[in-house]
Amino acid sequence: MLQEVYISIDEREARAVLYEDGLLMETFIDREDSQVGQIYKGRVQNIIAGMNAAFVDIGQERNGFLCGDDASAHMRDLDVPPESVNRRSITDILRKGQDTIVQIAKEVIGKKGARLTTNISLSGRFFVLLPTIPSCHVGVSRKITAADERERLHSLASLIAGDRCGAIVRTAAENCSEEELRRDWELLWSRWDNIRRAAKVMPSPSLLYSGVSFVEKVVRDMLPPSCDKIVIDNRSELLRLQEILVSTSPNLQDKVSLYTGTKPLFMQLAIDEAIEKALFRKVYLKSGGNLVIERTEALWVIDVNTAQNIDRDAIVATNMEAAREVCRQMRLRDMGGIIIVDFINMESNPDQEKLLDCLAEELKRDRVRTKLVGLTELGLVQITRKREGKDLGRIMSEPCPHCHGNGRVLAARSVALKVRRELLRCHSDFRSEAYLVRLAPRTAWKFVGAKGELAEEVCRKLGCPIRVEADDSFLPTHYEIKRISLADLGPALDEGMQQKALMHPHYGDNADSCLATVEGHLVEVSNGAAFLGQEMTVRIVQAGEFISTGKALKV
Amino acid sequence: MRLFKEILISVDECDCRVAVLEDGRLMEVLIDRDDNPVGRIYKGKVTNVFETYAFVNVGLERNSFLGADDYFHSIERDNPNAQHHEHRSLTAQLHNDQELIVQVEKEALNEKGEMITTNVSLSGRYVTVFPYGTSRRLSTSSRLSDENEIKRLSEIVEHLLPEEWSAVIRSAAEQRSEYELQCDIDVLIDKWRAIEELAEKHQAPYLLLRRPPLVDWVARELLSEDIDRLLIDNEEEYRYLRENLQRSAPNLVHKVHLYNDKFCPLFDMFGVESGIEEALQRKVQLKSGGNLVIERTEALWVIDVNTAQNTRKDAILLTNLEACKEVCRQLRLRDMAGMIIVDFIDMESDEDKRRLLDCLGEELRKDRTRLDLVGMTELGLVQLTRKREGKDLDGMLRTECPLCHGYGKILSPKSAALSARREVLRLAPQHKHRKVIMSLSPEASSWFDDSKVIALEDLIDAKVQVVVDKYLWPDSFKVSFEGESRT
Repeated sequence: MLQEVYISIDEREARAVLYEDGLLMETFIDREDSQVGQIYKGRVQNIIAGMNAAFVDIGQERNGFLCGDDASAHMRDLDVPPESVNRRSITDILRKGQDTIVQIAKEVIGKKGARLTTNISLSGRFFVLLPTIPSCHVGVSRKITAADERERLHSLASLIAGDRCGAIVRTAAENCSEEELRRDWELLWSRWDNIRRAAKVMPSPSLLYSGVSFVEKVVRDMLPPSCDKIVIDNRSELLRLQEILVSTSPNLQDKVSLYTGTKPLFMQLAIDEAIEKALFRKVYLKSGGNLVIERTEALWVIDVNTAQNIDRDAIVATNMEAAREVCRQMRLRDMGGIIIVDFINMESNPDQEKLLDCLAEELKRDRVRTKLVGLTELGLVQITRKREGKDLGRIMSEPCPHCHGNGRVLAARSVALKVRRELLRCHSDFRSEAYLVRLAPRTAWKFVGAKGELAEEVCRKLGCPIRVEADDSFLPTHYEIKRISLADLGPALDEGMQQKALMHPHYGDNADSCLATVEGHLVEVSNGAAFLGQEMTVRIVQAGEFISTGKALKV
Repeated sequence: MRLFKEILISVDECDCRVAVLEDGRLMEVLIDRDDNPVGRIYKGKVTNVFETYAFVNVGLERNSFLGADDYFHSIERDNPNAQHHEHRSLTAQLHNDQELIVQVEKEALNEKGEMITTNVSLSGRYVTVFPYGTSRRLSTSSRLSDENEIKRLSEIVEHLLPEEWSAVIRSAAEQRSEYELQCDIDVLIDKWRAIEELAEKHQAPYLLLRRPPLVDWVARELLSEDIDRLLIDNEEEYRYLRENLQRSAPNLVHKVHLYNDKFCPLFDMFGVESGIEEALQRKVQLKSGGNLVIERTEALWVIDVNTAQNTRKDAILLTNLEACKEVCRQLRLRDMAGMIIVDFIDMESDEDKRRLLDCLGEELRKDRTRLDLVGMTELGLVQLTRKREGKDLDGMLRTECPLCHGYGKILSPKSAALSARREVLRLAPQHKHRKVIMSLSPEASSWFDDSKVIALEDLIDAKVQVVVDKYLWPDSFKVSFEGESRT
């Protein structure tokens, strides 16, 4: 398998991607706003015994939140009485006004402050150093399964750790030499030493350690041990990268090259496009089917659809292709938590087993811990994947301001009916001489009717005239009702007049026409469909009270 | 304790809406707009035949889908020996351009066409008839249990029903006289004769029967002894409804009342208008302070149950039980269909889990629609299925958001600004213009501040102007160049 890593770093954002055999597999984007891993000297503001938690001032807008379960560390570097070690109740460990070393475990989400822990961890390439845990606790990643390799790593790690502190041996350490492991350990230990020293002299609250640099994270979390090619577009970061590689994986040093082309690196290789695609809801499969990937509050849902008209063999083949793509998308989007996949129904048990085997095989390639839970009674496949910070969608996008993340808004027809009802109700409460209704062009069209007949009917019901104003800047769900006097009704358009207007899509019976607004009047432009989204000069052919017709003039 | 059940019907020129209330709480909403094809009967023409399904043109936007199982089910009585699946190929039965009378069973979903059946049926108040017959001449609703009554009804219907037809006796037939049943069946026979006449006169594709108006449907399906009152706000429809009931169910006429308060519309009076609005929201608040988040995805519905902050352990079961009642209400209110997954708050005790599932089973029984509580998965998710009966409330009233195309998310303004910046970097070396104009949405431009503009100018060695365009959506941008090319 050909593995390539591309790194692009500039002032605004740092991005790295991993390609396997020419396919984008992982993305890693850093916009300097991730705080996870930062270490602070903080001061306990208050303790809430009922919640078994404390709020700690770390110099940010909101106090950090420290749970009793996360505060049970051996805090040998601050003045904590030794008998409190490993007690689980927060009141036994901390008191108000006390200083403590804390690390950000989870980022600020919504109105909650950052989640803190006193169980400090420093991640290197092969170790996660746990400086607050005694050295008898040395673990080996569960992803390493071979018993003798686990045994070897465990004894090596215990030897290196001595009586210094606990640690976890990471998956990447598989088959690494003592020399490599030792280098990584010493790097981390000296880092901890610096933090510890800083904590003694710095005032509280203050930042002790701002986390690892971007290239270091790339080396640590993304770089495969047998990477074939590493390309980076930033000279100073290249030097830093090489420096890190010397101490961690010298075998990769000669794989690194600097990109100096005039076009930006990610543009040149169409990586920008590939990343944007990774945000799409729909992913097309070669077999003609597709995946629809959706994130909900509770879990991720992936729906597998076939191309039309396929037989049993093609269903199995599509599901197999989908299984591989699902695993790729899980890595690419960095999904976390529960993932439910609705494959195409297959009746035969051997086929189902084949699919689950294929999934299990593909999941092994993921460096994040995953678990294939299996099929539910309804034939849904359940997978869990460890959550690690924000997924790609969270970094790149935000809730849609129009539908507030619902993905759906009231249909133009529903809005039109709502306005109609509101108008009738409003009139029964406070009578007025006339009304002004302002709407988006499409909604206005649904409200007045193709020939203005619906608006006329409303007028008859009300017993007074209305003026309908179409406004380009209104969203389809927005509306405004105002009481006006008869004098404010305004004149109709002049037939033959010409004016510039924006061509709006229109879903009426006439496929060639579109909608536009001229001086607030709704105009159906008979030949407008060809110019959607453009500004055209429109000539009014026939002026009506609620809807006029016009023609777009060719330039 | 019995619930006070009422039905409200609001009719005007544009639509007809029905609300079902229990003790004043909105439980169901039905909306009739002319565009729902379910129940319509068509004369259609076969366009493609495959082993297990066929497409039929009935004149709708897409060709409709006819499944083989369905087709064979309806012709089984002709050939009782043809039970073997391998011989059940549609290609041997149907050919292109063949004309068939079919009925729409399910609405078009996503990109698929309507599901149709050759097993055409017509429903009356007391019987549902199948003019083409089914494998059994007579069957009875499972809600009818009295053996003698079933025997009595079967004898009456057997006598009245045309020879080749089949029928299902509905639970409403209980205690009805022979005369009442005869009226019901006679109406259905007349209806079918009219359909056959139309089918002979017209070429496929042709619409033979529309759906009955919603008011008729409510009178037949919803109004029963169990309902305390029915209010309707349109005088004409009120009179029509009473006349109708006078003939078909005189015992229910007294429950129907006209609502004619000019100052407060019916749906406002009973809080239905705001109830409908709530039924479209993603989040539903619970009294206990927790909430439900209800989301629809392509494959299934997902309901997440959240506790209020700082909930004590012993309050978790209570919140889950409250959520359970609300989930069942929302199922009916939103008319959710298909697979539904509920992620209740994790509970460790098996005893509590069983109580939750029991409560859910109990609540689900109140639903008219067929439901299946499948159970809890290994990850503690509760799986349900609910039968699809056409569009759900959301599908009825709302449409895909034009801004995010249904995804619920858009590229963040920051991402848009960064994309715009990359676009400038990409184009700048090719053009060498004096000035670059970046048009950004107000949201994106506020993020792309002066210091970033200056940094970009230094990079490309040209003037950069950021223009705020309020008509641009937050996820989009435009880049253009101005001035003499320097090359």
